[in-house]
Amino acid sequence: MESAVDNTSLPGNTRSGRTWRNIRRNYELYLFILPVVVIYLVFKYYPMYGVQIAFKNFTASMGIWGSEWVGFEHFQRFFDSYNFWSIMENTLLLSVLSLVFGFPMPIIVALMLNMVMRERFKRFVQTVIYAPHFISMVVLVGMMHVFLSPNSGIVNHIITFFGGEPIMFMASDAWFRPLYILSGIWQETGFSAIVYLAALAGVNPELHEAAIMDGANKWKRIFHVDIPGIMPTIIILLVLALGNIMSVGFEKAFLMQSDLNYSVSNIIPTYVYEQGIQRAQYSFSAAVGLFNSVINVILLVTVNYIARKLTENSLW
Amino acid sequence: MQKGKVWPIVMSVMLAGALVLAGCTKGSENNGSEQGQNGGTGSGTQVVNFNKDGLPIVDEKVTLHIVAPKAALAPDFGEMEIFKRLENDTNVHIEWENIPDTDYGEKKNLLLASGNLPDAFYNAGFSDYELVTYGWDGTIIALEDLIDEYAPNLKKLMEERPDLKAAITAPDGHIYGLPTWEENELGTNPFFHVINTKWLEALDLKFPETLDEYTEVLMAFKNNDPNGNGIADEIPLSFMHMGWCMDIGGLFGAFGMPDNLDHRIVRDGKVIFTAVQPEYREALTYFHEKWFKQGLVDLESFTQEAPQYLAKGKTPEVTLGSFIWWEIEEVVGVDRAQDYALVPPLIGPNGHRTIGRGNGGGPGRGTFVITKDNPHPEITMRWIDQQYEPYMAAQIHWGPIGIIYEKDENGKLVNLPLPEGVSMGEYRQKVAPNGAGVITKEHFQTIVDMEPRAKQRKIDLETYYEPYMEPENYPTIFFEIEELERINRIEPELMKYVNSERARFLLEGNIDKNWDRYVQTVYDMGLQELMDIYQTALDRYYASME
Amino acid sequence: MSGFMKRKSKGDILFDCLNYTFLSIGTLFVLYPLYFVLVASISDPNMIYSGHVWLWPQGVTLDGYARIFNDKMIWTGYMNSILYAVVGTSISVTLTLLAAYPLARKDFVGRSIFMWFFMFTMFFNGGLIPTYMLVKDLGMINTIWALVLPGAAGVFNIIIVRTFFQSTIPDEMREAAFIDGCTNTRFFLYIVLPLSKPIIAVMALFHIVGFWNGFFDALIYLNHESKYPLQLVLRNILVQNQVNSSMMIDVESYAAKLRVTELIKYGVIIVASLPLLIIYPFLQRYFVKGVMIGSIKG
Repeated sequence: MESAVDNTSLPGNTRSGRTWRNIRRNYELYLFILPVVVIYLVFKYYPMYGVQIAFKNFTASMGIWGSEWVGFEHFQRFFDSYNFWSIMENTLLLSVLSLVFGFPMPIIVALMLNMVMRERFKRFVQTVIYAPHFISMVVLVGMMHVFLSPNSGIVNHIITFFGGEPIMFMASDAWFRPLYILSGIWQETGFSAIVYLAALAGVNPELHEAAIMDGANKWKRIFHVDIPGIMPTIIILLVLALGNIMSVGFEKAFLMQSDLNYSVSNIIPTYVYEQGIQRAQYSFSAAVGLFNSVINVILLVTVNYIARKLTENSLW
Repeated sequence: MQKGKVWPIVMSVMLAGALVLAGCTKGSENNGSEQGQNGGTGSGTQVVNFNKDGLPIVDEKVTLHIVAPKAALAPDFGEMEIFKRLENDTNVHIEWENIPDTDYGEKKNLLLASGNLPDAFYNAGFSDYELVTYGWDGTIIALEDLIDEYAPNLKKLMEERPDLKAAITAPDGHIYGLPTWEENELGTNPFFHVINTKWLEALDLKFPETLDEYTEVLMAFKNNDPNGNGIADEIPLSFMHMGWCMDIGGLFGAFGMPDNLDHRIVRDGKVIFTAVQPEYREALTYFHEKWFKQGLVDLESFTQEAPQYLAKGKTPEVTLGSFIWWEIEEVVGVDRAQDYALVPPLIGPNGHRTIGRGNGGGPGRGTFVITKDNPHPEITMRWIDQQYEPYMAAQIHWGPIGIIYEKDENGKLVNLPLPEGVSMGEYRQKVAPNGAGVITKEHFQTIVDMEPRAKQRKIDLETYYEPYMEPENYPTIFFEIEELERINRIEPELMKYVNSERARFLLEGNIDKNWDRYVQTVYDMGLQELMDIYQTALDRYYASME
Repeated sequence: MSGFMKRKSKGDILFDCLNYTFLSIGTLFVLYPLYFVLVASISDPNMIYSGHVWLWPQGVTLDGYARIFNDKMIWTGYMNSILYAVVGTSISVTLTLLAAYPLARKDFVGRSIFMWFFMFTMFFNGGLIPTYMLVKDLGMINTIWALVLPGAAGVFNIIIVRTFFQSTIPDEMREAAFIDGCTNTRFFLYIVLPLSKPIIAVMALFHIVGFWNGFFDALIYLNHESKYPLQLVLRNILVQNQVNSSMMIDVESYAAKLRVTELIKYGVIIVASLPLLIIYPFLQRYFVKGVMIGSIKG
């Protein structure tokens, strides 16, 4: 945001001059950010030496420094595992598909709710859809078993009522991904919509007034006022989501796994868990975690760059 | 803006690098300083009035700091009657650090990883891998000398039962963990096959003895409405695929080779992987064609968990025809239990009739370990040895004399009646730490009486299953570290593949088409190497017994 | 003002119709399983599994709740959770706001460096063991600080707040204020914060939920049951009622235990989530449209 007067030719207004002036003038901002910087240095950067666990054979008594260095051995073991490609594919597919179907939902819901005029209805809906977030994974999958049971589940009752054959949802590898994604949408949409609702609340109401005066109906207002207004939030969250693409949760896939859907439900976290059952496999899981992080970082930098070029919003 | 982008990246990489290096020079390991603290000072450097035998163990009270998990209903171990008695006798005070058993696993690892060592771990739950690794690097100390000098009870046990000694000795010859064992032999066959006899009567069928007769019974259950309510809601057979006491692996014995969760049996000293054998193939084919294809088996057998499974026996209308479980009552409830009966192994189409003998069954060997930071290992050894005296062992496992037991005229411990409305399982948690002590099968004759349920099970096993049981099993062998590593590398994925293929074959068939490819894949995943390791270890085990 | 809002075009009527319909259907779909959890928490588990429970509870029993509330740790758990949530949220939200604001200012020199400094930790961290040892060395084991400090001001939240600031606090406002002689601090406290009610409410909510639901940190750093937060107590009740093969000899209590586990599985959710469901409507009014009216006049 440039000021109206062009100061660039005045003496003392060089680039570094301006920089120093900004620093001095904004000294309070540095104080604001200081406590958090200290916390990060202490609790996040200091322990970072632990990253080397991924390159060592960690044993407790040797400690992190004393444990034997094995270089890329753990990574090699991961890449050499018989099912490596299938595991990668399963993980990525699950993550990407969840994103494709799950990311737009909270936005749509927030936009819809934002246009609701009746306070009581709005509050009721919001409370209801935010509640599933608190259902534990164990109960969620347990309910899926009950509802989808081929013998006694309500869904199959409806199917047979219309003349169909009962479907073994929880055993089928074709249904694993849809169920995983749909249950995720059910559980998280309401909670994730909150951020967008807050962003919508931050949209200048005068813009809406102006639009109404121009004769725009609600559809148009959504497209021309609301969506542009929350676009920065959307972009940022999208970038962050893509930058976490490898971080799929362990619990749901583990609970939904059965011998019959193993070929699609075998993902990186469950694989690491299986490998570690015999012993505390710190090194191996650290290596795999590091591998995930590297991929995430690469993706994040790439996506952020694209976002910056295409829109004006980006993380940095 | 472009310059602004490169610079921060470079800066933060340097920053991180600098921090790592700074951490480097900081150097000193926590372990080192911790050791100095715990080892030397604290609870007395000198061995104070230690008695090599007899009680008390020390004349002046000594304190040991021990970490142990505790069950939900249990009080802190310091409050337990049996430990109070022990302290009175031995004059050794234990400062218990009890961790709820649900969190114990994680906390134990953290304690070990961060160098925060107690004097000992009780009910320690150390896996074989942990025993050899921590033993090898010295975190826990070797115990055989201590046992020899200060543990007369344990020593006597090991002389009477050399297999016990072999079981707890690590491949490098040292003993790192002490045993806990109830040699009740109740797990020789975990798969109890149960059938609804009321339905057999209702449909006028004779009790099946052969596999084909059983198949006909299943058909009848499905089609002829044995529960008489006009709806085809009967489930002829339900189980839990690859469940530890609920799989149909026992039924594979009708084809000459029983299956189990390890897919591993022993015949004539040779280790066999069942899941690639012709008998296994025959069994799968039969089950698929005759049962699954005909819709005679509950489809949820592949996905259900125990609570869902157990609920099937208790539906308002009786719907369960046959199932596999540890015992009958739990599945169908007390009221219906008399309508069901155990099925002895069925005779297969070729006349085979065998049931598997469960692998393992040996003592747990990582239940007590002494850490390197313990200043009084000999006092500790004498203290824990008290729990290997047979009567004490029984009390540690089930509860003290006077509360759970009383001695009868032969000196055998018999159960006292329980207080009103209390179940044995819950009461036991409150009064018995169950962290050490060995009760051998000989002891079950003379020292302590088995619980009624346990006795019943023994009778059932002898009546129905022992006559047809495979003579050999794969014992709980102590593998070497490299063996454990290699097993760990191959086995998880291989087993997952075998199990998911088994489910697929049972459900979808196509066995002839896919068998060769399947077997080839299993071998590609490393089956031969895996079986060689198991065989070598078995040979070594037998050799050490001679 | 309200006159404008009331005028509806045909497009608007259609929109509202569809809007209400879809939202209602969606809400019902979400509502049914929630209702099921409520009903299941007082039903006989065997009935649940045989599919008899779908609208009304069957085999009504309060055993599950009895088991939960019998555990005296529940009440300490509630107290502890409230304490941790209040303290943790206050600290973390304050720090998050303080850190996010400078990052939102274009004239903040070193913005990118700080951003990277924070973001780097999202991907690379030392893991559990070094952090545990650090916490131990700082003497924070078994204290509230271990739960509240290491995770304060998470990167994700900082980014969200920063984005909000960037979108809603235009530079002209700040420049105008500076011309009037306002300092950074005063601007932040008296202008930025009041305008940020929506995002503060959201942050408060996220943090409260996070602390309330979290149990892993408590599991690792707290040693004594009297300090356990609610979720850890509940999880332990649940886990200790689970059964495994080594318990087979205690055959009598096996089925009884399973039954209790099933019952409390659902009850636990109700017990734990109820407070959060209650406070939501109170916080929710802050991130609703209309908060901004009259506040922006350049």
